[in-house]
Amino acid sequence: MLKINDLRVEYEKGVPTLDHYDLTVNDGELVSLLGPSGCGKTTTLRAVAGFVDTAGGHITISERDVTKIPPNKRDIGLVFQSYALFPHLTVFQNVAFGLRMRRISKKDQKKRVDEALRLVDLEGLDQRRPAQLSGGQQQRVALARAVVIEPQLLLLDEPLSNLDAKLRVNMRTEIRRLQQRLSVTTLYVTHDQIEALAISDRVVVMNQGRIEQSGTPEEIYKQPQTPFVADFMGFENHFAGTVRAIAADAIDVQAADTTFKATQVSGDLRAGDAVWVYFRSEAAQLATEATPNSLPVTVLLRTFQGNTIEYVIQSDLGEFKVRMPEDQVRFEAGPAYLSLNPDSLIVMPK
Amino acid sequence: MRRTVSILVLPALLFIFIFFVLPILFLLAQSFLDPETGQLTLTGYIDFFQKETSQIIYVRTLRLGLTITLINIVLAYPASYVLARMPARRRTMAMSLVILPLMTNPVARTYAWLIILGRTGLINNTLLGLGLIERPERLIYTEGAIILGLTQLFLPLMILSLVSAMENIPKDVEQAARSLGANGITAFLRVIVPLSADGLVLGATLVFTGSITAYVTPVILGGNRMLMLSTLLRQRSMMAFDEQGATVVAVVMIVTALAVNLIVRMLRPKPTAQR
Repeated sequence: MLKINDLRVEYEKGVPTLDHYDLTVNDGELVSLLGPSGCGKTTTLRAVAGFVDTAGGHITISERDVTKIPPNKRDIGLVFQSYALFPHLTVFQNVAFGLRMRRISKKDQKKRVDEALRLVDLEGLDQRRPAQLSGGQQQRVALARAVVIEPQLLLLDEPLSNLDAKLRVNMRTEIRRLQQRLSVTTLYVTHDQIEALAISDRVVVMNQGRIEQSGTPEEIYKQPQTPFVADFMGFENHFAGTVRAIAADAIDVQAADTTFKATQVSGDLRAGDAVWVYFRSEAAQLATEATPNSLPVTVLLRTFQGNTIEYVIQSDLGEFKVRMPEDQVRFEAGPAYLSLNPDSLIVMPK
Repeated sequence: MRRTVSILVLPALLFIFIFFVLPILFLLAQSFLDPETGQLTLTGYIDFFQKETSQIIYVRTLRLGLTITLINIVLAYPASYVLARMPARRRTMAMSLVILPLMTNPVARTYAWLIILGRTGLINNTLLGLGLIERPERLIYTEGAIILGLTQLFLPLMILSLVSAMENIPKDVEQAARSLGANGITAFLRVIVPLSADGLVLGATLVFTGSITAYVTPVILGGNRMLMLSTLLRQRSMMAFDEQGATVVAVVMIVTALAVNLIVRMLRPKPTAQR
């Protein structure tokens, strides 16, 4: 288990990159830190690995406070975006490096390295040099090298960013399978939402050194709690409104001349509060007539995108994007109605 | 295409041939000729390798070259590591400090050593003043003085070679070693050193060949008392007017330098096969 309590990291004195930072990764859990570059996710991982000095707080790995312990004594497996293989050593020697450092006998080294290489499908390549391997193979070696030491904690720093799109999806699945098979506690850093959603037990969205939201991939995807998470998770549309009434199962929000019903609410809200209402472009519908929860709009542009059609529309509440299945009725430029399902609207305090 | 290229290198090649290769060939020929009869002979070489004085000087030259190279490696490795890991801007500044000694005149720089090491130099005066010694120690015209002078002269070269090799070692690779359980020293020895071997070989070759052929420093700090090959060469040709003896020394020096280069190149680890 990894526990971070009240962590503070300063690259520049007095200017914290992380402050009052708390995070727990339970045994066998894979938690990903998700956020744009500069949000502090890599700093967090490097602090856990011991490559960044902490200015306050505690880091505990398996009940052991490692805050002041050097990286080589933290018992971690670390996988880098750049793979960071030892170019002068063979695949076998690369994977055996951590075992050598632990003074494991030659015989056991061989056994464990062979097993680790089998786990990542690299049998028979043990005498190659890193430069003779493809990017995907190199990352597998890096993975084998990190898990062969059976670390208390596995840290992965954007491990797939240097791979091409197709390989990335395959490796993602493989990393997840390997992680579950070894049930190793894992912290995974990425800037790719889809990757984070696909691979994690829990996703922690970070922004400017703070945790915006932490939850299961489904929660993060469906119920963002802050404007930042909503934007980051692909809620392309939002407008401002005011809370009119609150009922047990729904909330009424007024925006321009329309009152919308919404069921997804984040945070404590009271009548009269200013709020943001977010919705996904594919959760909205265009209609020819007004319906409950709809808004008169003008269609500006229609673009064909394969199995969907994307519309850019203008309304009193601003410009929106709507994406509808390709086989539905198409709308021409001109007046129409935007119909919003109450379940697809997310209301959060402004 | 190929023809134009060869035409382009022709002037430089011609220059090197006329002013470098030809003189060396003459030198080589002269070392095998009897100065009186003009007959082919090996006496020059037999004399050189049989005479005790030249034996001593030859061995001393090699020994000093080796010592200076080793001291340079030991001094330069940690410093180069720190330099290579500095942020780019600070490194540029630090590197210009490192090469500053190379910008100063070698004669002036070596005379500065006299101020420190001379009979009435800084060290002797200090020791006398403190009452630690009763009369000035001989510090100059010793092997130690030559080692000091040449180490100082070549340290920048060694550091430059090592830094340029270490700059290319990604920090990630070193951190990977740390994360796998290597402490700082082990990571340095198992990752940084092997990955900077090219720089080490280059630096060591430059320093060694530089040391066994250096002239100004041994003349001023070694004098006639502590001769090296280069100073022996001068003595033979300028003072003893022993033309053939001088050419023999010159050839021995050149062959030794070339041989060391060749041996080092053969011993050097093969570059990893690239895909």
